[in-house]
Amino acid sequence: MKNKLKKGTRGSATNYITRGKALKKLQLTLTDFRRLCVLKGIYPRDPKKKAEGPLKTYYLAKDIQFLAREPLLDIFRQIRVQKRKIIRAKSRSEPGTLKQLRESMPKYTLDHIVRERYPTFHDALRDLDDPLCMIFLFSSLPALGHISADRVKNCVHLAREFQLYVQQSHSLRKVFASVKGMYYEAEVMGVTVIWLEPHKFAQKLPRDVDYKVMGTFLEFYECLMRFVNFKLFLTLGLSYPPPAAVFSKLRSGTAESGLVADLKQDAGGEMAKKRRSKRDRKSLSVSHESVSAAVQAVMAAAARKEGSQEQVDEEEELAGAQDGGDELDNEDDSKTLLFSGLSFFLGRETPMSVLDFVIRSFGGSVVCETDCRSVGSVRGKITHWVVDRPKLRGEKRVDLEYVQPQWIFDSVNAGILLPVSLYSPGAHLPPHLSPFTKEEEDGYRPAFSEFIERIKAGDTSVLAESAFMLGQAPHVKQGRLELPARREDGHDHEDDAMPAGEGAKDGAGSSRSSAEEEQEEDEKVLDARAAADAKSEEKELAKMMMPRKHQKLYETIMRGRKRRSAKMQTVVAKRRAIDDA
Amino acid sequence: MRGGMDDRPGAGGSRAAMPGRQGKKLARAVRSSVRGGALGSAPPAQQSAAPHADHDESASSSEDELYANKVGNIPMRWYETYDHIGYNAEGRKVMRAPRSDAQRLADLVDPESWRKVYDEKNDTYVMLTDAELNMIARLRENKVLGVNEEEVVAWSGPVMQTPAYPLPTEPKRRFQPSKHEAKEVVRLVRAIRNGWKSQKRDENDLVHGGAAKMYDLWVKEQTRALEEISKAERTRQLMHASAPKLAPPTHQESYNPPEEYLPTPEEAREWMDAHPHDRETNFLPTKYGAFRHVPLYENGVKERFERCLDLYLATRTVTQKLRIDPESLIPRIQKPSELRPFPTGLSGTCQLRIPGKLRAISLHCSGRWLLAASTQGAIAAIEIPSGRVANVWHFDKLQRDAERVDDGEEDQANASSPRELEPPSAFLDAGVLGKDAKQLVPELPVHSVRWCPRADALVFAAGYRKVLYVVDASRALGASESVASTSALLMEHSKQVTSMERQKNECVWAEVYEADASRENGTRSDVEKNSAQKSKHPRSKASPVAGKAGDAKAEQSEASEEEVVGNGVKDEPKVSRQVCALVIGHSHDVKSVDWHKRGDYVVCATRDTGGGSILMHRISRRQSQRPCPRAISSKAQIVLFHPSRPYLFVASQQHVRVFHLVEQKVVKKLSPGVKWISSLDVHPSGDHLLVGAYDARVCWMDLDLGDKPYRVLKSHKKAVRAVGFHPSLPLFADVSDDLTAHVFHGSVFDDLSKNALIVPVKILKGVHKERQSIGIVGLAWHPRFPWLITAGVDNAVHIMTDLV
Repeated sequence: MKNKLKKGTRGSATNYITRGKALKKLQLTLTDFRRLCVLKGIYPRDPKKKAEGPLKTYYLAKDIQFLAREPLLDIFRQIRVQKRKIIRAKSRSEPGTLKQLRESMPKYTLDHIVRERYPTFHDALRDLDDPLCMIFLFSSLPALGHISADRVKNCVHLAREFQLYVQQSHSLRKVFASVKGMYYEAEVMGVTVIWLEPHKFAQKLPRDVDYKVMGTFLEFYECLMRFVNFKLFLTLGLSYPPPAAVFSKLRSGTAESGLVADLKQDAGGEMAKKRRSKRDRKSLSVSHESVSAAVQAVMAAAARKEGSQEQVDEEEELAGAQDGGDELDNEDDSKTLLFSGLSFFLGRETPMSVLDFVIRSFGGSVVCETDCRSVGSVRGKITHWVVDRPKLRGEKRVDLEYVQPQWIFDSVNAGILLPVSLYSPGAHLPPHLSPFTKEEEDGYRPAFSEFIERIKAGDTSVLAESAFMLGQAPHVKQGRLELPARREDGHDHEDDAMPAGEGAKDGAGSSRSSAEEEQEEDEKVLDARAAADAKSEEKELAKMMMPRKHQKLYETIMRGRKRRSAKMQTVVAKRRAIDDA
Repeated sequence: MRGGMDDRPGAGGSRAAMPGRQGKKLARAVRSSVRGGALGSAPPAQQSAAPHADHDESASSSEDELYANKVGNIPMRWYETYDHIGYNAEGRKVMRAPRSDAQRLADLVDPESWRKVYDEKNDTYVMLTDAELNMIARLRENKVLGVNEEEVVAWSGPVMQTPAYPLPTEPKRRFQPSKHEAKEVVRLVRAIRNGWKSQKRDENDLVHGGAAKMYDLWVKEQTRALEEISKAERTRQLMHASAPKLAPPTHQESYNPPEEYLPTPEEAREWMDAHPHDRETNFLPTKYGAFRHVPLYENGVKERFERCLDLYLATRTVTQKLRIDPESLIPRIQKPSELRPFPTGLSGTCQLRIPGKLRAISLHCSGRWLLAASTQGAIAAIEIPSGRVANVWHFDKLQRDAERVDDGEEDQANASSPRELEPPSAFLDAGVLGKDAKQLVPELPVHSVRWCPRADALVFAAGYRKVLYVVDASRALGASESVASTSALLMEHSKQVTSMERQKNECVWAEVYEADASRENGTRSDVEKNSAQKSKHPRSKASPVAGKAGDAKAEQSEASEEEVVGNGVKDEPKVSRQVCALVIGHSHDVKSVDWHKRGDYVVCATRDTGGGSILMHRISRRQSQRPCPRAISSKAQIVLFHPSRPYLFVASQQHVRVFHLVEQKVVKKLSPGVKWISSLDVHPSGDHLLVGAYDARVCWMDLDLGDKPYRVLKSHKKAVRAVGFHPSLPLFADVSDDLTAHVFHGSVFDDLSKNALIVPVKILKGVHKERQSIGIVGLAWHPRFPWLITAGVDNAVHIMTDLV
């Protein structure tokens, strides 16, 4: 007889290891273990059979093996020892030793972990949401307690650099002003990245947050973002890190051509050589096989820029790049360069950094009220004045469009320039919709979304109606935007009216004919209803023949749908109530 | 005033030529020019220029001369209220000059006014010269006054003179390496080497002080071949579950959401009261009229922290998300319209007014007469399709009358609590039978009725309580053509019966004879009366023979037309009289009845837990026997004859046994897998069985396909009460407490390799009403047409036909 397998020698008993055992194996404290897990991206698992009870935390045994070979482990141990020595020196009050010990604290870098966790650049881009959110958050935090000023400064730099890349590559796709902050979606080398930037306020630091843990995450994210930014700048052919002057110039809106020059000053550097060697489009596409066609388009644009740089003056080049929007009849490009040729004057009450980033990303140019002495100095160039005041200061100028900041966000999301009349200063704004919600999934579509669709389709009558609406601005209910419904009603009336009109022409027999027609219509309705009934009954019958397994599955799916649709139903009901009121 | 200003340019010109003015002289220069103005003539200007140019020391003496006003360095506001501004050297008042409006206007228009300075001490305007303006400009730029850049020579130190005395010689130690320093160097080197001391921090690296080298980390992207990756690493890769991304924001989260997404005050309160973990969203949707109104979101840091916790503390599992179109799960069935004919709609209704609730129905094989039996022993005969109630037999009344006469205490007890069917509501609602199903499920129908399957005879068997009645209905229904054959069926062929056989008889038999010609007009009352008298006989077997005999005699003396058979007491056969009913007494309640095809045998299941529950009665011989061993019959609920073979289907609570009557053994034990069988029907071919159950299931059992059901149909929501095959068409139906009747097309094939084809074709609903959560209780098929007859507990009988 075959020997019975000994218990605990195979399967999940050996594949998984509890946290306690892992600590013992790695000879680490829990804090260090957690730090290591954060840095290396190790997380607990949920084995089907929990050999040591359901209350323990299990890790994959191979993960722990993997951690055991980590060079950081040794450094962590050294740091622990060093800290112990520091305590001893302190208690012995030996300032010299203390200083020496503090200076010689073991140091480590995380480069190898970044490479390990993200073997390809594409992998890193796919996982960029959390790092970006974290870095944008920390760039707005005060340097208090566990958050050092260096950290915050570095985060500010990294955030600005990433924004600069997005701006320069015109890869911003969606903007959403939420209560939590600004959500952005960018398509970086074909990968969709979404991040949240908190509103510009002095952040409150809650007490029940472990900033050490966040610090560990940030440590890794900073390292990752540094390399990602470097690589992104490289693809654009720009030097990294960008000189600080670039940002100040960007802000002040002066000498845009100079910016590119500044960024490209690394001409003598090794990178530039590489870049030149990769100049032609083919080799570029080969070097980034995995990256989608969108990337190639960006790269091509970069290459085109470079080509022009050699031939023409830089300023001309920039002008060409801006005018490029007209040349590229590609729809996608027209969307990414939505604001090309427009220049915006941002009032000092507006969220300038946000608007600046968005407008530039879509090819517009920006002048901030805080950077120039008066509007007069930039008179003639401005096409839009972004205002966020209940009333205009001074006289309204005829040569400008006055808009609220939401116009910019909504236009970007719609992919067209929406009518500014809806967004004039002090006006009752139309709702700001999330560009991330897909109507077909949700099952409900807000009226304004349909409105935008109609504008997109080139329905000018909508505009007239909206103008009419604007006449009674703050009192207008948004329900009025529900135009399609009204229109359908109109159709019905027309349908009703038509036969009546014909009947009048016919004369005497008209009443009878119309009655007959009514009857016919009724019959048609009944027929349709009967057909629908028959169909539903057929379905009902077919359901009877489902195997039990499928029946349960079907019921589960339908229950989920019902739950979701019930949620939407409440929304629809609310809408109806608002419309009725 | 005083024409002083007119001279200014000249004076300025002379002064501008003067080079080399010192910075500290500026004030004086300004003042001198002011004084010049005050004097109001050219000479003093020259006068003032000369001392500045030539000798600085004379400046202080000449200064005094320059001022006509000798008030000194005092605030001039002290003179604000006077018309003079001070005193001159002679002590006379220096008067304030009156200024006309014209003068003021002229001052305004004067293009040079910007370079005039008001001298309040002398009450004059002083024009600044070019040089003075230049000086002011240089002052403002923090430059040296009065010097052109070219003239400024870099300072050079004094040329070292050859010292008069030689310097003292340097000590030797100045030329020798310091031992102390050497020691220090050695110490540092050692410290660095041992790691006690490290190099200074690199300012560029903000993270760790290590060298923050910038380089392309992904120069050659690491896409390694499968062989290069170690087994452990591959395992890790395979087991990797990347963290799910956060859900993107919805319309709700907008700073200016559509109004329909805003919470009502109740919802908002609910949100506030809920624990943060229970909230659906971690923010309350709010509408801000403008972007500037949006405040700080306070939970931002906390939410990011929670995300961090999720990333490294939460267990991750890979779950397959279902991406199935639910419609694809629904099987494609044949279109019902292709499978016509089948009943599609209600075409007739008969609402019965009889005591009790309908329990069972049976349709005669001619398709004309329908029997509907109620719980209180009333059986109505309805003519199909007219819906006329031809006759009603009240067995309950008969029995009670008989009991009253009899005064039997046990029977009284039975009668006083007429068996009503209790609704098994709890179990039916649940659709599934639990552990204590026995308590929940009521007693099965005590009442069943069945027409004799012979077409020429109008005889039905009805079980009510402990009695099985075999009744000749031909006269009552006025079907004269079948009277003869019916009577023949019920005639006793007593000659063949030996007394031995009678001894063995299991049940008490009684005959009810046709009434006299005079009474014949009211057949119904006749039977009633007769039945009333005979009812006392069917009591338990244990009742003493003598008693029986005595009873019989007594009845006879009362001119009863009843005869007791089976216990040996028998009067001379009354051939002349027609037997209109047979009464077969059982020891327990009769649950189910079935006729054999030829119409001579009736099998019934009784509520006998002792094991003798199945009884078979032979009409022609007035003989009863137990066909099955106790083990089989003890739990029998329903019994059915096989249409062509000597088989008996015996349904217990969960199983159906196929009993071979000749070989006296169980051929097959079928397990439909239901909790409690409610009804049974056999296909006309005899190869298929339909089992209905209280747990809302209907099982199609193919007898050739083992003991498990070929198809289980769980289409009803509540208990299935009756099932039935159509006698001639490929149809079957089931009725349920959910007030629907489902009609199926079920065709069977002679080809053994082909299984039965079952297609649901119609759901008939909404015609019956529910009473105490019981719905439709019985169904019957028309023998030839696709007509379905259903009987509900609301005492309604509906006929469904194939309406077009």
